Amino acid sequence: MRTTYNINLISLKSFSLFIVIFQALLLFVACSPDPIYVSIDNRIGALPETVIDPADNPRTPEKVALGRMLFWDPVLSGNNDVACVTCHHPNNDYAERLDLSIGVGGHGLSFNRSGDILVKRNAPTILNTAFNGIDEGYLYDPANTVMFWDNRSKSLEEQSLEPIKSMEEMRGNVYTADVAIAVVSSRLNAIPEYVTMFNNVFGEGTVIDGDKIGKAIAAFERTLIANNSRFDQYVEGDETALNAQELRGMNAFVSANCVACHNGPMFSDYELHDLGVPNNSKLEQIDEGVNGKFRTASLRNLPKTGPYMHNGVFKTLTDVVNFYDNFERNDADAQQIDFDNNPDTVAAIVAFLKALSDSEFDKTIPESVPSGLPVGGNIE
Amino acid sequence: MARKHLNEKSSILLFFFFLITIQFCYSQNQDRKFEGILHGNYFLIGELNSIYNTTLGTEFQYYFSKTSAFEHYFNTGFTTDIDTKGANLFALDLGIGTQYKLTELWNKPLFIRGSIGGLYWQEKFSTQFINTTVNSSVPEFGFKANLGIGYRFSKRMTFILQGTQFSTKGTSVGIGISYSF
Repeated sequence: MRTTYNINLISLKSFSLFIVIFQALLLFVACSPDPIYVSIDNRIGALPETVIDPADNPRTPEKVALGRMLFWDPVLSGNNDVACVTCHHPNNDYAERLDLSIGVGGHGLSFNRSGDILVKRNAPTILNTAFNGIDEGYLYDPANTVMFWDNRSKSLEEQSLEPIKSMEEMRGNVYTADVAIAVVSSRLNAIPEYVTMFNNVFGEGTVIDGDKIGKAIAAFERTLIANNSRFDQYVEGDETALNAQELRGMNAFVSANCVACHNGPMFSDYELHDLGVPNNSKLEQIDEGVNGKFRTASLRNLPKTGPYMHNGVFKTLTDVVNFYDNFERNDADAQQIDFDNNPDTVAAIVAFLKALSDSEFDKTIPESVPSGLPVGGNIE
Repeated sequence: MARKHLNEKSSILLFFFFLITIQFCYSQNQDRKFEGILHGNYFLIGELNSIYNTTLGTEFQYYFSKTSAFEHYFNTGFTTDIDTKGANLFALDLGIGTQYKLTELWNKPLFIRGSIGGLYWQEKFSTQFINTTVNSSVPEFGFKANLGIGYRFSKRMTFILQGTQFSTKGTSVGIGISYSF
């Protein structure tokens, strides 16, 4: 059958109308109105550039250097096998990448660490802990803030001594908790290099004790700052710092009211909340925290600091975000969350969370420590 | 601020009516070379689905060639999101398409139609932070592909059911009503 092919010659007049309409639409897109921001009570923001030191513990280069040595030296542990860095290594953004830390008696680092003694909670990152407690007014008191998943310590100086007394984390069964600091202090007093370093920091004739150990370690930890993420750059004026998916994720994060708890420059209200997080099956006893509550985690530098939650029960950020679609809303703040478990929304929020990371922080690994023990403990 | 937002959306609707009126003035050709479409779409999957659910749009088609079975057209259109808080999506497309008469239902023609072309879209964001509010826009280019079924239930009016692919960023389904002139 023959097909008749009729071609209408393009009418210049008609086609011109088409072009005019196209140009009108182009003009309309170019002059499109700006959106109205989501008005919220709790806001997020960039981290400050500088850290506040406690009045009784100002930082000096010598104190920071001493703190770094103590942080990396397993002489602080009962069996000389665990240092602070064992569970807070710079390769893992000063966290560990294990759901639950393996403490005393363990061998290896991160994924390669093995051992019999589990610490009951996930090792959070040390990064930006100098800003713990910071609120939306950029106010915080480093001498009276909160540390740990249960907010039980009020400063980095106080917090840094707790693992030394913990049987699972560093002490072992070599001595009891009440004498742990005294034993460790006597060890340091017997090492000439430490005596010299402590004298340089605290004055000639210094007797090394827990107070000075805590201050030195805290001073070093306050240098571990990661405050130039692409999110921070965006807030500070670089509109190209975040891509479209990350911007959508930020919009979804705010619209879902995640900021009810994850607010301020550290994306944490530093309050205790009960979310009904599933238990970690590795633990024989359920960790109740403080009446079932644990502190809101900061969302800074997440990609390398998982697994997530107080017991590391969620392996990926996607798992974490999906958790908020249907969880026990026992908490007044958590009840404000209005989240739609759309996989594309989840992916956008995860993309935004990853943009809160800054990889430019101090990753220095000392070649040796004054005790002569393996740097970082048994992590090889 | 809510009233300003409402007025801006109302302006969009007024603009649509204005364009339709313009087209009506050109409605003299019995061959019905033009077709104006109003459509609503709902995102199913894709990155754009993360915060934009429903869009409203308009499309204009110019039929430049007809064979015994196919009708070829140029098309240009505009799409915007509806009431996404803190973000706006505006998209402009320009392409080419064709329409093929499948059969007749109740003595009215049923068409299958498809088009493909370029897409320019702009997303605008406004976010309130602790000490500042940041507004930004992200323009992007891509392609737009459309496949649908049209049912011409009256002399000039067609009901359309369509699926649309917005570049690699989103897939939507939608319905529309068109007027031929």
